[in-house]
Amino acid sequence: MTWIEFPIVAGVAVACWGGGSVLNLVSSKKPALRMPSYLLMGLGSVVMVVFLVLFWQTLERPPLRTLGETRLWYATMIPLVGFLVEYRWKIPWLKFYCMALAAFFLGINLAYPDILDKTLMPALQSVWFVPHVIVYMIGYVFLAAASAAAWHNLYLDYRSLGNERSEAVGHYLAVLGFVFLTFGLLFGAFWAKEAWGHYWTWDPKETWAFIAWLSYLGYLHLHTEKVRKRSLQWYLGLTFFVLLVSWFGVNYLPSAQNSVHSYQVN
Amino acid sequence: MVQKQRKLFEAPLGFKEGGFATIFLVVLGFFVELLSGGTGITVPGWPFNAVIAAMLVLLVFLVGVGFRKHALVTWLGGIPLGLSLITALGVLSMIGGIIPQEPEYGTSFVAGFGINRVFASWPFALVCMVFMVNLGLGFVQKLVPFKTANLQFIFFHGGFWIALTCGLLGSSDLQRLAVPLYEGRESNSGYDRTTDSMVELPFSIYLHDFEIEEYAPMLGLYDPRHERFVPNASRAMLEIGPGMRVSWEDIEVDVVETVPYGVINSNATPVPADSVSGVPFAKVRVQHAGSEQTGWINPAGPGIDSNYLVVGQYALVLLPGSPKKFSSQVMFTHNSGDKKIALLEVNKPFDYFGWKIYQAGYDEKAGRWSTLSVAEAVKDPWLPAVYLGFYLIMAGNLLFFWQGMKKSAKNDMD
Repeated sequence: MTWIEFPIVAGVAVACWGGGSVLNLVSSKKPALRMPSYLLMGLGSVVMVVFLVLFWQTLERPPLRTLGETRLWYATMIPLVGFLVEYRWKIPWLKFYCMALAAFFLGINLAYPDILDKTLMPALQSVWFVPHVIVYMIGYVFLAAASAAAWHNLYLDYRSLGNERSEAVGHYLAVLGFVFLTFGLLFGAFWAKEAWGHYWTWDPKETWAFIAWLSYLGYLHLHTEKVRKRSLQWYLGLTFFVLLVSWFGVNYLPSAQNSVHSYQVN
Repeated sequence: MVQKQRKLFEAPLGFKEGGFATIFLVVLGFFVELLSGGTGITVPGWPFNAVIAAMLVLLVFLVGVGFRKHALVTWLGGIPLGLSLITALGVLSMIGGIIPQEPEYGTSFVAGFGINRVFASWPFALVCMVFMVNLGLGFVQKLVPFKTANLQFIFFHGGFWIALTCGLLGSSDLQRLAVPLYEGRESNSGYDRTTDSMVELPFSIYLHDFEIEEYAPMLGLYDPRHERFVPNASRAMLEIGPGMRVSWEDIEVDVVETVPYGVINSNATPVPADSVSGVPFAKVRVQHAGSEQTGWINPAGPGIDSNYLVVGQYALVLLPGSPKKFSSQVMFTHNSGDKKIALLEVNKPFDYFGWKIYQAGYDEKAGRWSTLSVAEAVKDPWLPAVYLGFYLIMAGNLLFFWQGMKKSAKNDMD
């Protein structure tokens, strides 16, 4: 599998998620459609997982180097978090946001096609490569889901339907995301020590990862301090944009010209 | 929460006071920075940094345990001040994350406020100092008296406190020296960027051999008018191999033959050579606009000119593969007489008498033919303490994950 097949794969996955979502919404009136709706949505994710595995094989290296490659992981994993939240906390609406986000990120890949490049520069050839990036991806996925939950909570609040249960889910997702973000940051520090000689050099990517981490650290403490619920949801919803800067926005900043974290093909 | 009738700096202190204190610190910091001519702060070296660290720990423990009920101490170690400081750290880091952090960058205004070296500036240092007190007090107050229920808090905050304090105060003892090594020569000094001086090492490094392994060379169709490579329908980098067939719209290219490393003989055809003297060659057949041409293409090398085929308005070129691995075979000789043979490779530093030696770079212009290998010798005596902090954070993190999962597994939301 290469980037040539990607548009078809992405189309099939999005069609499965979209079709499954429609069936799922209709199933509240026609319960017989419930199971097929989950099967169809699940199939969308299976398609992505299979593509990722085959793509990895073709590439002969972990597909975690370019931003386009990381978006594939993200799009594959985020619907799974939506399904997990429904399975575990019986909250059905989050999965729709998650699938929409996945489709959006696949859309970015279609709009900015990557080039298949098997090479992996020596700095990336390390046992830390896969754990560092995957842990970060999982963190991003949880925090995106937390942010989606926060936006939904604001909407519920606006309609005076706010409830503790759905606020709690946003918080749990934020906690899980923060745990993975912390691991990602520390794994990155350990790796940097082995690859570049020092665990922390205020490289722009590191700086922004630190800012994103501080933002969520701020969220956790605001939560402990029991600030107003609506403010907290606003904070959780917006702070995800800081994370997006650290993920790819940083590449467009003036400071990025000297970043050692630039592995993008021009 | 802040009570309505309460005046500023009247107990209980809260967010407002935290905000004021933090803004005061930042403004004071920029003022000092400007007065000192934007030279930033220099952390004192060993043993003064260790004394400061010890005093900080002692003070935090004494005050945190002895005056734990005092309103000012509660506030100093509390979340409202902590959040204000986290915000300030975030904002200062944002400046550092947007503006290039280089001494030569920026106007005198930018340099005067230390904005082009934010992480060594006074405002950053002052905020960090108070943050270390805040974090330390918070940690100590949960540590004494000890409760198992506080373990996650203790690990996370204690780890962060240790890592931050040792990382910042120990930064002055960190030595990073770039050691240029030439094949067949011995070197025993390295360049220190922070002091702009050569520093002698307690050992010498002799470079036997520097080697670069490359990925397969790649075909490229270059468009000189737009100064870019023309993308190909396969959406892939075109690593060459015999029997390979590539097309660009109306251009068909077949790779007929390849020579991994070769030199040109008198008949203008390549003959195999070793990797040191040769460059990769590819014989290609090109069909374009009804005509066909066959020829050898190759990148340039020492004493070998590059060859390409002109195809319409484009040039079909062979690009050398990007570096896959580079390594130096070296021998260390310590002043004590100890000798060690080692292979320096990226991501695989070598430990020698408290130093870590890295394969850092080479002469990129010479590429595969570089006889210069740049090693980096790093000594960071505070590293074990910082890592202890990191490990504690990870332990706290695992507990956090476990607690969160456990909490959420119950139907405590219903």
